[in-house]
Amino acid sequence: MNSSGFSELADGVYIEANKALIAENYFDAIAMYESILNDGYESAELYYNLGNAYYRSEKLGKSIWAYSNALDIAPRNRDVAHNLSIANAQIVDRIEMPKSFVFITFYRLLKSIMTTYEWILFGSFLIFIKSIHFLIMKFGLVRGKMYKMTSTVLISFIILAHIFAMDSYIDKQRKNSAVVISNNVNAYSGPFYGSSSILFQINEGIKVDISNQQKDWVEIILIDGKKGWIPSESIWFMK
Amino acid sequence: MVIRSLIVLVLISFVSAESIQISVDKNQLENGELLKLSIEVIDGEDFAKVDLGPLESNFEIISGPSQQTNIQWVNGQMTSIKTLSWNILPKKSGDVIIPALSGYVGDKRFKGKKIKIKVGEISEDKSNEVFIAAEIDKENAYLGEQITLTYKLYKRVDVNIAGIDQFQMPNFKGFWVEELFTPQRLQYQSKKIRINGVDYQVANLGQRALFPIASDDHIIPSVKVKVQLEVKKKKRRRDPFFDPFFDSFLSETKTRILSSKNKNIGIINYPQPIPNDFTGAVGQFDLDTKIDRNDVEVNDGITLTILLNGTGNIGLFSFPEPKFPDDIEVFPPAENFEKDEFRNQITGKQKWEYILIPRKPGTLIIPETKMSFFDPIKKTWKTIQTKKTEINVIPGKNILVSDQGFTKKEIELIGQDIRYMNTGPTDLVQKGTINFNLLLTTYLLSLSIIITPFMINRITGYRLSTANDRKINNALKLSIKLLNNNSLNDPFESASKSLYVYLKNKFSLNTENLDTARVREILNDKIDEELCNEVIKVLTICDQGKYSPEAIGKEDGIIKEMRILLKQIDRNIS
Repeated sequence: MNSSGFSELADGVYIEANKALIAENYFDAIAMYESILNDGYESAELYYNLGNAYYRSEKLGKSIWAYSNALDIAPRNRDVAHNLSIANAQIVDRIEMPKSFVFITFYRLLKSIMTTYEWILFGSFLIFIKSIHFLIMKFGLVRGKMYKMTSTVLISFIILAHIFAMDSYIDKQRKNSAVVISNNVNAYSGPFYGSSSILFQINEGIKVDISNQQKDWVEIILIDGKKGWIPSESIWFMK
Repeated sequence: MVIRSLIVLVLISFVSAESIQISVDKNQLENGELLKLSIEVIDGEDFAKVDLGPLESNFEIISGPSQQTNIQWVNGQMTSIKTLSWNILPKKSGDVIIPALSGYVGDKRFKGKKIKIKVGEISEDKSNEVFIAAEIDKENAYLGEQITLTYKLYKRVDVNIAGIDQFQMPNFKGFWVEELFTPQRLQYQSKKIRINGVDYQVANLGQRALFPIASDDHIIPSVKVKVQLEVKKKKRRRDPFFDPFFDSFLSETKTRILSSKNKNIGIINYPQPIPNDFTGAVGQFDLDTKIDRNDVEVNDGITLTILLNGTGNIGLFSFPEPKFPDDIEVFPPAENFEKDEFRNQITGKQKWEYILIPRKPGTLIIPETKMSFFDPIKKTWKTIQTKKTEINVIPGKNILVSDQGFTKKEIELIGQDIRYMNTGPTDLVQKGTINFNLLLTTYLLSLSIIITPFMINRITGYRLSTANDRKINNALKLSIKLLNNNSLNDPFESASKSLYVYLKNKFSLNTENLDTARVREILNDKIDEELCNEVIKVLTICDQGKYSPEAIGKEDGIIKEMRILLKQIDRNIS
């Protein structure tokens, strides 16, 4: 844990950055927000405001990166979701998303409602409820069938919540998600330049998965399954 | 013409009632003449199954087997003959032997004998009277260069052809084949051709354009065709009436197999160096580029047409895709090939139509696209290229003219702006910090709550009630209630039932359907013998009350008695 003095300093910078943003001084605002991030502090509001600053200074890819990070911390923030969808609509490339099974879509939607931490908290809270429930039964206040039914419902909810929490945690641990931040990025068949091996071209804003990393190069997988190597300076990893 | 007596060699082998005959229709023939081989099964149930394998070294099977069944009645006796027959062609001349054929009729085996055949060399005169030839325009060609192949039938003017089998084009190995001409029927060209001073009529049997492709060998295979020649009979003086009027009706035909010779095509290597952008085009070609308009709004479609015109292996090579600028969306081209029909050379136009949609305003330049081809006539490489095309893209009135690739929701979003920044305070936290304390507290608290009852039990010995405990404790209360209600409207029934229910609850039995013997068994070592006997006595009265008049008058007493008894038992047990 860091000293609180440092955090207060960051708070001060944040307020200054907000002032710059209000004054439409995007360049300064971005510099200040980025300095807070570089000091190791973050918050949903910080990412959201940074996203706005990037968007206003026509850095679409970086704004999508910032909004996505904000949404990661505050998944139920309507403003963040709205701005992210507007930024996404400006992406030049149209990548066809392969149609997935309805159940999987629903599962992903449900998982994205809460952050990993919230899912674990939710699971632990349910376990707490279950323990109280057990105690009540022991004192004889809930009886036979009623107890069994409520118990089944509670336990299945506990299991579900923990599955979501675990899946969400694993997703986060992999840290292989990134956003393309420059335009006209050529994807090569290998981690080297060569005019004949250009596979495809992508533009900023696209979310990609990183499957492999080599010095200055990353292998990306697009949502439709295309693979290619691009210079690592053209992407930003999700935090 | 010599009328040859038909000599039939009959080889009979008796197989019980059946007999098998293997025969040929003649044993002296000319090269190119067909021989009919028949296998007859006389009085057999089935056709012969025969292995013609041994035949194939000396003969070629042209057609067959054909099946035929004859039934004859002679003097009230039936004879059936089942015949299989083949048309075979000797592969060589001189003395040729049909080997002993063996096979089965039903499940009986038979074996025939050898048949000797004399195949005479065909006289020069005869062999020249009709023949076919595969004519090619060149013996050596480059890969991809067209070779025109024509099959022609030559016949001497005085020979008549009664019929010809459908001419089948062979498979040309190592060539890409394009059809040039296929005749509907046999038609002689009006011009006669003189070979060695003899006039011939010529008919075109079919014409193909062959393009050599990369392969080990390039062979134009030999083809065979069956023709029926008319054989004029000698005029018979005896028939002044029928001659010569009926001559044409009565003429005989003779089958002859004609074959062309194998031909080998030599492949000439391309002159070095081979250009990099050579994709296999050989011939003479022109390129043309057309664009439907040069000024276009953003997101409006334009059509770029690339037209390849010429003679050669059109359709056998690919055209290099033009390098379109990045700010333009390109759809896969529509390809179209038009063949010019009335030429011996494959000639035509190939068209690629690209639909382009510029996405950004400005001047777009579609650069030249080069393609090299080999000109086999001048024996040189040539390069042709499309014209450089400039497109002037002006910004559209509407930002979004085309909704290509956008979903409806996204189109709605494009007109909107992002929401304003968050001006409120924020809670900056160090990256990656998670408040584990709260989580840990909740989990530990839950665990301790679950453990609590067991701990209480362990330490104080006090057991928190379970459902079963409650049942045991409440057994007496429940039964007394049952007794007081007299819910069954039968005092005896109610009395015994309440006891059974009490026992069931108290001792956690599976059922309340008990009888006196079972009750004694349960209570025997748990209460005094005296009380036990009393219980049995009351139960017996209850049973009697249900079925016999003896217990009349005891209805009121029995309930009271049972109540006292239940209390006594409960006290006695605990």
